[in-house]
Amino acid sequence: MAINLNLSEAPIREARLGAITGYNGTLKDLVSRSGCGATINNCERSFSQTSSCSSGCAQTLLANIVDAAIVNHAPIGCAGDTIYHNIANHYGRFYRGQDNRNIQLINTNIEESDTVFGGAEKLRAGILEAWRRFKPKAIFVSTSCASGIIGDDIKGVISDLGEEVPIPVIPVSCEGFRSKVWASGFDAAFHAVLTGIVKPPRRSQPNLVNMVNFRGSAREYITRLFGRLGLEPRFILPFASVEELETISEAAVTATVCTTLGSYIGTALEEQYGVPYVKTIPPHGVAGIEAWLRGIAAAVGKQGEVEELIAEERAATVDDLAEIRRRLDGKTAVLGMGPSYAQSYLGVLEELGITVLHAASWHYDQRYDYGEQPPAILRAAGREEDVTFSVGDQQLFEIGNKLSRVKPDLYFSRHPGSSVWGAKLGITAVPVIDEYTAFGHRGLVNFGYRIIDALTNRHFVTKLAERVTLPYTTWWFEQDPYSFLEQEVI
Amino acid sequence: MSTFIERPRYQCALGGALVTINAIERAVAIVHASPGCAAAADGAAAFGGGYWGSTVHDGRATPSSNIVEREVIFGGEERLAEQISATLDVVDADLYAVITGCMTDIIGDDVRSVVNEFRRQGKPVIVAETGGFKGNSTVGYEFLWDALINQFVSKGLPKKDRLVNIFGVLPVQDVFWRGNLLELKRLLSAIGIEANTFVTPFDDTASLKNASQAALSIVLSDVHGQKAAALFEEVHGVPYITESLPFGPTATERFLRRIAELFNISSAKLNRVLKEERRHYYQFINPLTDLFTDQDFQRFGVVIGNANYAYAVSRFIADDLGWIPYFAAITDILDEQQQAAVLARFATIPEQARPKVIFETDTSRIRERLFAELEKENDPYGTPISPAFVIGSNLDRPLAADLKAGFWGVSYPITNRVVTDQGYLGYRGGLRLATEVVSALVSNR
Repeated sequence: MAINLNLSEAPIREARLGAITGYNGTLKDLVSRSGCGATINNCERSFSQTSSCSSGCAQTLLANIVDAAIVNHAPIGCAGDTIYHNIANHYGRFYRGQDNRNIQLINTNIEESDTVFGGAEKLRAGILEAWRRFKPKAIFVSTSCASGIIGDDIKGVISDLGEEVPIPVIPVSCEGFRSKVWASGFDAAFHAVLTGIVKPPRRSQPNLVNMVNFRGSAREYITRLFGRLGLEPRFILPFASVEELETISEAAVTATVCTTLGSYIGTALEEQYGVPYVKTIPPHGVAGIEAWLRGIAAAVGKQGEVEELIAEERAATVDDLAEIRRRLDGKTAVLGMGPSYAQSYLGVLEELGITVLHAASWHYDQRYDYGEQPPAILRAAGREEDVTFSVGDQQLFEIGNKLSRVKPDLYFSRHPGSSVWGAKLGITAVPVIDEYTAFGHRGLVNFGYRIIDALTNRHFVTKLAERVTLPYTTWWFEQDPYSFLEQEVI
Repeated sequence: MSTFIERPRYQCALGGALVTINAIERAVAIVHASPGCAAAADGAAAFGGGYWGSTVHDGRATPSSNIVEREVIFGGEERLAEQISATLDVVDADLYAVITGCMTDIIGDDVRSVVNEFRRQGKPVIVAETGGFKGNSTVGYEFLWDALINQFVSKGLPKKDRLVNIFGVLPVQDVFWRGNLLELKRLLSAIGIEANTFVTPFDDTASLKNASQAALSIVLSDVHGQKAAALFEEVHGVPYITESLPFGPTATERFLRRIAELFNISSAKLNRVLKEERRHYYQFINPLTDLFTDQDFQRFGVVIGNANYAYAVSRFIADDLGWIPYFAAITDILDEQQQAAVLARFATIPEQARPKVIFETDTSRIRERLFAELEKENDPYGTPISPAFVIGSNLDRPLAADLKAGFWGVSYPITNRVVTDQGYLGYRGGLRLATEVVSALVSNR
């Protein structure tokens, strides 16, 4: 199904991609029942723990666009997670040699009276102040449950501003109650950028790669790899400028480190402006980076150069990888990550010689915006061995129960607040917070040694586990981990 | 009339209630709200609160009904009942507190009826409606205490004449609440008074249950916890007094003398404690004096924080460090009466050391208003408060850089260091604050 940029907001993933947050079975079962036009039903839970909010995901991308501002039309609590975004901002600016500056965000402080009389006036005041105070190149107006339910006419407020605010002011529809899939917030952010910032191409930039990512820690590595193909990366959205975003329609190709993240913008740029989107598995591990680089090279006609590059990278790391595999041989793991990483890391851990006993995915998109099943899950399911697989929006009581049963050597997680529950069970937790962990051949080597280091001295977690209390009853640990997941209606 | 706020320095009512429950050992929240509310609140607490992560029942494992569009249309009461029932099975706790978010409060779920059904069965479940739009962390703290006082604390217990309850120190909003309260407990215990502090990791729900035994409540704030203490008096007949947070030797001595007088503690006992504590402070401050005076480390103080900290820190730097408080920005959302109470408190600082006080929630406007004050100074050298030192939150680092001032963060949010058992209360807390601000002045050496 094509992306429709004429809509005022991106439809949520449940509607657009058949995304689910409740499933328990096996990898092969999930893939076979959600492929070839089939659709698997979502299962709800009668007990749940907190999940995450679309607005946080939208703001994590938008708040770090260097010369934009956000007006968060919401009660103050919705701006609570901007503290985290500001940490990312401080780090990002530090590593790019920029001064210490806070993110540019105003919260409209929706209060009880606004839920009765509406918050339009406050929103207007907030936008005017954001313009006066920050002189940004664009203002994003992010929405909230409260603004959504009271029905403030955000577009009306924006269009009444007229010349008073002579820059793009763009609504970002990211109310938390609309979707259980927080990644819907990424799409909301990209939709806003695509409809409010990106301009039709004035020229083509045949060397430019739109590199869709989060923090961009591997900038130098990627710049070097792309340089060998005569290409130049532009890292988006965080730490890009509004001007840089205006011209992403002129790029030669769009690539992403996370296919959950990249689907919407990659597909939209391809459909709208003919910028090819690389639809390979993500660039983690050997198979990942090689497929990904080949995908990029194919889009720009550099097939010869890429084989030479791959051969070099492989040769530079082959001995280390053999050594790592020898040392990690027989180790077992459970992983809990967002879908792109959960799928991709099934391959990564296999390359490191680690056996995955169970994989949990924070949601599952049955197909991406370009209509196909995620490539990494197809690849993982193509292996001979099947593995138990669950989908849950970071439902840690299920993970804790599962970990206590299968007792793996390692718990690999992604997203804040998950690894700790492995640690409290005495299981060595290796969180994958940096999106470029295990990126490329060299990243895989680094990751391998990081795991070896983590296993070398386990005192922190083993001693912790003996001395902390877990939140759950004994009864719960005796139940099936998925007993609060409703039975599938087939 | 309320207005927009740049990067708020507090959480919403839900967040304030959530962190208070999380700080109570063996209490668990059941959040009836949208999927991300508890996670966002947890993130704000963990990342802004000096990395206070999951204790036992909280963090990203917080039970939450995660209601979405369907419940907005059909109501979320059934889902809540199901969630409470399951939580009682899955989560091992003594107290289950249902708190609500914007969504559920706007759609008007009758959460009290749902919870009452469980209460009738004798389950330890309480409920507070804490929709985020109702106010900030303080409001949430008061809502939660309302629920605890009316629905959990036992009524009609015999009084203990040297037991006190402590209110007004909000978890996370006071990033050092654990260290501060533990030191308070230690000091009061030294003069023979037992204190219920409720929200440290060494308190338990039994002390909460039996809190009506206290002879007195002490509210360590002119604004936070006032409602809780007043309600406690109304429901459980425990009177209360209001004090400021005692940071450093001078304030702590004044505080302990008042408490000792109220409880008829012998002056011999009191003076012995004061002497020991004072000795601890000066035995360490004494050898720091070479540096302090050689380098002329007296500073003009710019203090930014909530009402508790803005006053307590200003008072400490005035009374004990011998600095010159110039400017204090109170970042709470306060009504006129509350503002008057805070101003009255500042008026107790002798005039030559009394800072200009503003009430401002918004980071950029704090800067604007400080610079407007500096403009008025008409200083021919253009440096009316040089050298200055900013004691605020992490959000005030850029301001300190603009002033070419020293900087130390003690107010929420604190993201550039971890906080465990540190605190600023008492003599030892004052010593810590002196150590930290002077360390900040030599940190580039």
